[in-house]
Amino acid sequence: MNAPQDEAPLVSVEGLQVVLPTGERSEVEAVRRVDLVIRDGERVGVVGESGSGKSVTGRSIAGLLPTSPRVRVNGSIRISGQEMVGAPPAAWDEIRRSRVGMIFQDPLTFLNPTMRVGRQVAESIPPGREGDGSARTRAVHRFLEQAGLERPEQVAARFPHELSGGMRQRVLIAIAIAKLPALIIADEPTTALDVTVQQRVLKTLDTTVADLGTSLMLISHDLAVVANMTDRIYVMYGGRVVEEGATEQVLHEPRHAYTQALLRSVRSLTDDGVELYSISPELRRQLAEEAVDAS
Amino acid sequence: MTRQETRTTGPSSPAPDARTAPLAVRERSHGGQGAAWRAFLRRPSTLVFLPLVIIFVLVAVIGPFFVTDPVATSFPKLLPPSAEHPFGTDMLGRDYLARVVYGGQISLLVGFSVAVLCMTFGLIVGGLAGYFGGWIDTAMVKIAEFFQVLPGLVLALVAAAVLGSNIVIVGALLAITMWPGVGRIVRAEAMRISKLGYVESQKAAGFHSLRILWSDVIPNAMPPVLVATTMTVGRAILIESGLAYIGVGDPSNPSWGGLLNEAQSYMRDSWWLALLPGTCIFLVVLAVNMLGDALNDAFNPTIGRVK
Amino acid sequence: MKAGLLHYGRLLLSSFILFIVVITVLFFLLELAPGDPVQALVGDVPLTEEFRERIMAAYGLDKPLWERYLIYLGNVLRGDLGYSFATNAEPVLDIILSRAGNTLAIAMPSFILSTLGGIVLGSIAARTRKRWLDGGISGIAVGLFSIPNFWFGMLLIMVFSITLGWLPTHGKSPYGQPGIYWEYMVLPIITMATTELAYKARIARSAVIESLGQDYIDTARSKGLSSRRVLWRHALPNGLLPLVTVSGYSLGFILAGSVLVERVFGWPGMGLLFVDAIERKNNMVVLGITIMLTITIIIVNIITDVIYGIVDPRLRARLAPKQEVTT
Repeated sequence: MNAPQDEAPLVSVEGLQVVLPTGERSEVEAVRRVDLVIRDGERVGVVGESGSGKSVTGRSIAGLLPTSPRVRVNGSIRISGQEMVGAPPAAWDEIRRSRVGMIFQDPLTFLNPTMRVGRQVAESIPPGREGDGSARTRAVHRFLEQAGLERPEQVAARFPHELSGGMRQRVLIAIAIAKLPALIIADEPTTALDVTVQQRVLKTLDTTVADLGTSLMLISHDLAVVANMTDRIYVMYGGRVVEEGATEQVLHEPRHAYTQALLRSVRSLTDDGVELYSISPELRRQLAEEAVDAS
Repeated sequence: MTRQETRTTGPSSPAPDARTAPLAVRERSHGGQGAAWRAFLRRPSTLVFLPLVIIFVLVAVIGPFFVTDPVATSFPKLLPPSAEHPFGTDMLGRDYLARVVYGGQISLLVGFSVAVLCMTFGLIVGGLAGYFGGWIDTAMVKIAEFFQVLPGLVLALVAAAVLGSNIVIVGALLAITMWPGVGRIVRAEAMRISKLGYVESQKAAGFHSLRILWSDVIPNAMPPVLVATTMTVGRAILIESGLAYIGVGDPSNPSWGGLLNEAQSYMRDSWWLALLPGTCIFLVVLAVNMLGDALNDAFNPTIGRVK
Repeated sequence: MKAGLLHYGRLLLSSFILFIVVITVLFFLLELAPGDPVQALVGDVPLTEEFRERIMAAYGLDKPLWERYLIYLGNVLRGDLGYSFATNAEPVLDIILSRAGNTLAIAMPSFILSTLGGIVLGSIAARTRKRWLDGGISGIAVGLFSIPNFWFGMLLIMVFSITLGWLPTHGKSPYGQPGIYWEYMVLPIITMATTELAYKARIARSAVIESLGQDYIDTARSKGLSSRRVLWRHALPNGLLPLVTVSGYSLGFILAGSVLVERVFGWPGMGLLFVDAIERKNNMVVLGITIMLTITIIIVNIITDVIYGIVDPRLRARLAPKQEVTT
């Protein structure tokens, strides 16, 4: 492993391009020359609708793209200065073992249904860090508790299907923080939960990240979620970043037409219940043309 | 496509749901069936095995005009294959090529007619069961369960023992025992479709159920049904050959399996008697299974997330 | 607990009903038999008038249909499968039981071999990045289950027994010797196991591929686990669950297939007995074996269901009361 350079940001993505297969002969350029930086302790939001490339970007940083040989990644992803594009699987394993934790969207499908929760969390603790046997078990309970689960001994002995949706999401948080990562990537962490639970889980995520002092990359289609949790925002559309800036600034002085539309839709949601992303067809057409021009 | 549009959407929003958003192309459109057929025809295994099946069928149909009488015992006994008798002769001095050609008629006839019967039963009963549910559905599930407990081979043997063995009974029994395989597929599809929004609205609009079954359920169920039917051809040929090998069937008009029954006692010195009909069974069954696989791959491409 | 009991209660009940239905179907098949009902029962053996009377009385052949049905049902449920009139009126049950051991001697090894082999080959094919290896295993699997099983046995005899002379062709022991000799078992077991192995390998392959595509595999990878560990700890335990059910059914197929395999190798088990009985129209024995086979398959299915309930924690829930933990 290269020695991390002091001045290098935690994550630095430059010109990232990801091509994914969609059929036997078809493929899609899911991410198109994205630049993105996450500094130590910083909280970054990535906003966009489905298919905007935000999840693919997040997964690229965790090295969790599909392992098909037809997946192509170009550009540069440096984690603490170490170039990860084209790095061997072992290097990625090392990054995921101790540096980057990932929280996924659907807490039921992302937990192994035939393994007890405690073991799933324990697997995420790098071998040897907490000693073994009972020390390790205590660590598992500590992380479950930190993720907001009461009576962690009981929860650890359960299978995922025996827990509620909110509890399962907390288990995923526990799995992500158990490795004491430098960065947590949360990909739509609350989308699958119902509204009342969403708030509490977000709060837990907020405090956990603050306690551990880790960086956060929060990926969401929901501007409202990202607004309260992050320092900086990237807005993505059609596989590219259309706007980037401090959260405050993007919310109050959006420069790009798409961001403006996004903001209007959030407001209209609160006002009269019109659906999110009621973006006019003209704007869509304009965005599509932009995409063609740029490439 | 037009059918999808009858789904009621709100007047205000062109709001795409998550699946139709740009770049996240996940449509399985109806135009896709033509594309799937073309994909099927372009597959290397199709290019090899479809002609193979066609050749076998052709030989069975027109072969009899070119070979000698399969029951004429006019040649020396147990001649190995030669230019004059490409497949040799059998223990009674009959030309073995003629016997294999005629045997193929029986085997293929059983295979294809059982498959067609299964598809017909399966579409009708499976469609009704899945669409209407209720007692038809329960009955079908129970019947399917029954044939899972009592293997078709055994039931056919029993029936043949009791009723006497002829090829029509064998075919009918195979169809009776094998149709639930297709039925289950149609049933699942019918259940899925009868719950879709546009079908609900068609029901509400007073469309006749049979019409919905005919125009929506059956076309949608067709790809997996064709796969299952193709596989049924192979399985029926295999089971029939097993039955004939045990002696169930018409001994004066033996299928490939019946020829193998005769060959059993001559394995030591006359290898061709056992080798040739068995190879025919193997090739035909292999070909239809490969075609079934190719169909399946063409209609249900597994894409993307290969971890 | 209640839910668990209810589940197994229903399972037992429906199994029992299924069994009755099978017997009913068999009974009416026999009724459909053309000609003299006594002859249909006893098969092609000459009958004295006195014997005929006894059969008529024993099976109530002079009684109406529904009464005969009940008598037959009662007999079967009491374990009375009738008598083999072709062979000194031995009880059918005794004949079958005397042959069952021979069949199991080749069926059980075939079952175990095909299950283990299928899982190993299927998993290798699912996991490997080498296209030729996956393609090779998958292709061989399709090939193997396209071969008529009994003909595969004939080929083995022609190669290994006749041409090479390594193994005997026929029977379970040298002529006149009691017991089973291992060299006689080899080819029948290979023959029986092959088709099922191919079938299971195919299913294992797609099941493991399916489970490798599941979301929890992403979570496992996100922990930095090695791909070997992801496969063994996460993909296989989940992917192989369907194999439990498949294996249950496969035992039934193996037993039914023993009819053919035993004929090929002259292996004196239930299958050969069945073929003999069919040729001689010894219908009591034919029905008896069918009933025994049905019982075996039904019991195996029940066992399969129980095992599935143990290995899949989601189903284990129905055995134990659910204790909600809430935050």
